[in-house]
Amino acid sequence: MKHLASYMLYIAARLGLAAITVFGVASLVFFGMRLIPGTYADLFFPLATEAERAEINAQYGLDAPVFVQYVKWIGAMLQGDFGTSIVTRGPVIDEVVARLPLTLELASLALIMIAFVGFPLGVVSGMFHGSAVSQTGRHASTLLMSIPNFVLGTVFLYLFSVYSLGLKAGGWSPMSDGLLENLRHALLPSFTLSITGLGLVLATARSSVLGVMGQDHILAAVSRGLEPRAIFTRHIFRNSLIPVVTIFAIVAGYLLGGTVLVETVFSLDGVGRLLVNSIIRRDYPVVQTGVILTAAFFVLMNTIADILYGFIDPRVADRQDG
Amino acid sequence: MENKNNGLDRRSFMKAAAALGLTASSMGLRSIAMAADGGTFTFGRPWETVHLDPHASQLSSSWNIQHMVFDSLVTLDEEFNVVPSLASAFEWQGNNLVFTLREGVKFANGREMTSDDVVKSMDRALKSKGNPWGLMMRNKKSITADGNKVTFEFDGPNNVALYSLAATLVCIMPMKEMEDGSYDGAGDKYMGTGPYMVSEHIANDRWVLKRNPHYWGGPAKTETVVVRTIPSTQGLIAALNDGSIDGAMFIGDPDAPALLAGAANISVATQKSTDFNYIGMNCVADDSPFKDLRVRQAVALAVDRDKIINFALAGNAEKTYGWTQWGFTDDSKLKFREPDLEKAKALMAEAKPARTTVKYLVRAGGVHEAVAQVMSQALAEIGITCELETVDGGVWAKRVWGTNPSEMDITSSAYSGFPHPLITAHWWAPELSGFTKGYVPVNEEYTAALNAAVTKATGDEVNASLQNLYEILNEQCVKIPINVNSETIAWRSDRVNMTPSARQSQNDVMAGVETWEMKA
Repeated sequence: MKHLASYMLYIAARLGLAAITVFGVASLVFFGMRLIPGTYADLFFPLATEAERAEINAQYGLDAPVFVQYVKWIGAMLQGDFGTSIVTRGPVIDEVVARLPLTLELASLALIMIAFVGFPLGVVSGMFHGSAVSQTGRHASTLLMSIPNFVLGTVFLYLFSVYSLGLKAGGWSPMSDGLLENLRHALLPSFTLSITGLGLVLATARSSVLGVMGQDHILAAVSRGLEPRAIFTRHIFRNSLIPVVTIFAIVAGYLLGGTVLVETVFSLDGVGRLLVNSIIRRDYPVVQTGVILTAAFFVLMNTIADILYGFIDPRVADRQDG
Repeated sequence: MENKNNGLDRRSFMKAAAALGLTASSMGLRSIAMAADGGTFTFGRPWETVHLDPHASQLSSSWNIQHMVFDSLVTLDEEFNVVPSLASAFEWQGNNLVFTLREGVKFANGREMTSDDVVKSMDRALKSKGNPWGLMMRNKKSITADGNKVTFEFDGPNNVALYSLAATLVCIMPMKEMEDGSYDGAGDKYMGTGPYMVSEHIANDRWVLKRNPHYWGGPAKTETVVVRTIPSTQGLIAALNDGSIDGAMFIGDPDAPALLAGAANISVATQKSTDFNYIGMNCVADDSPFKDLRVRQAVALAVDRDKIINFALAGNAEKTYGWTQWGFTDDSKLKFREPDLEKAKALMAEAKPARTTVKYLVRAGGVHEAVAQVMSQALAEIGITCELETVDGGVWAKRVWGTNPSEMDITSSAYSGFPHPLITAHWWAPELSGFTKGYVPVNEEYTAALNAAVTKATGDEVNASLQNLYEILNEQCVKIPINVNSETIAWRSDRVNMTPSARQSQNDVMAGVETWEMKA
């Protein structure tokens, strides 16, 4: 009971911290965007007079002092109003939410590949230290982390568009048109997105397993005559998981950032590409909303990782409790 | 045991996570699948239409879609002659330009276009913020309708009016529907008198256009045109190769023809454009070395257009010495044409500028970075060191157009050339077109000559005035035109019959799309 209470307190503290972080990101992006020279009117109404450009700015509330704009925006956002796109004049939340599923699917598939390919390979590579398998794992992780994803994406674009290899390089097909067709479109960009994370998780899992295997309690378990399978599941796997979970949370955040490049290379209409275009066009409301939702997702992933620490290793939550 | 006490175990967590992921993935995913009726032509282009209101669209990147939906009173043929469009005939009667409206023209909703739509569209367009056509028609007294005649009354000649009217900036919109609120003139559900109307627009991704059943030129051959935004050249080529698109434009990428060479079933054409690249120098800022005419002239003599075209533009461009396109003016009379380093160095020695390290502001994207690289080497030859700074379009616009004096010494950029050179000539007169006032000095002689060329000259005087302007600008060297662009159009010859126009102006890359036909 005492442990449950400390665990709940731990979760509450993490959620509070997450809310503060998202608020901080919101403020940063709001003021950051306004520090970049040039407004929508400067960019797209070059032939307008200064008075006309001022009128266009006023139309979007950009004539008010920045702090007043900020307070109004925060107030509206707290009531669920994320504003209107300056470019399309549609509700910003619709623009972002319409593109979220694609971006989330890409990131989810990439995470799945990392979890089910990178992690097991890392564990195996760590378990068989000194063997060819281990060496291969080490070199593979370095190689994967070294390839920029836009380079791999461009190579895929060429290979898969010129030769009919089954997968589609570019464009999108929703799940509603069939899972197989969806996967034909999603696999290449997802894999491209995953490679850095694959390498990172492989390397982390490998070194984590190696570290745990060198500890005294493993030697003691072997001395006690425990089955290798039991040693792995009870001692090695669980203890080597915490650094991997940490890396997973970081990789999840990186994946959302990585979609910017991957969506551009593969011409996919996701949140990443929307954000880049909106920054270029100074469409402040879209950038602000897109960044906040992305940041919220990233913070959520980190919070989940924090909560999982407490779950995997109860001592973490107990320490938080004091 | 503790896990169970917490009411959360690994297995239930994984199940919940998987369910959440699947739900998120299936939520409202949008299709880019093409209609399977065989009548869909899918075209790729590297940019998106940002200005939605045609009357306020000041950047050429927005005009491509608008050309397919909206018509103007007149249009251009491939030789850039003004030819009838919504007006079946036009003539000058003294200082009045009289249009006879074509009979039976209907908007895509089936309503007949009236002279009221024309007069009100013109009024709206010319009053739109920053629409430069108000400037072009500065001596207009009135626009009136009488039956199927619409008359533009001027207080003298106007030598750009007719050409100006062949643009989407002054297209005819359904004003009755705009007034009763059933059509949003500033929105993206375009409905005009052109061959297509918009059925769907997903910003940054695609426009879906359906055949306008009431098009006055007869129904377009292809039922649906999908225009997709594919930002990279590699993406466009991949989509052409795998058949995701049937055609593509490669604007601003001179390497495209080489990249497309040898591709199976892909035809490639080069389209001459009136768009041109130029070098601009700051002649307004007190500390700019380019305030000194001799330094600017030295730069003009250091410019090697062949080198720029070969190194920065992959040889796919045509050099130009002025802003005018083919046939209007006589280049041989210009003083600053071919490179002459000795003369340039002599001018620099005479000028002895206090500062020889300059800030070269470059707009990111397109060919400007490569042009700036070649230019900075040319300037080094005459003792000018360039500090290159590449910035995005917004920062560039603010520093060059939105600040006075402009926050740069020299820059590379491009103008959308128009079918008549007198239109573009206004961008050298900051009193008339304010956006260049941060770096282009007021030149009263030039502005007076421009005003006279537009609103006073008649007959042969027009071209003579143009030549005069051309020579003034060549000698002043504030902006140095480098080349007119050639754009690359590619299409799947096994899937579509299409003939892109050999020349285009105002980003009408898909001119004639209504005649393009999918193969069975």
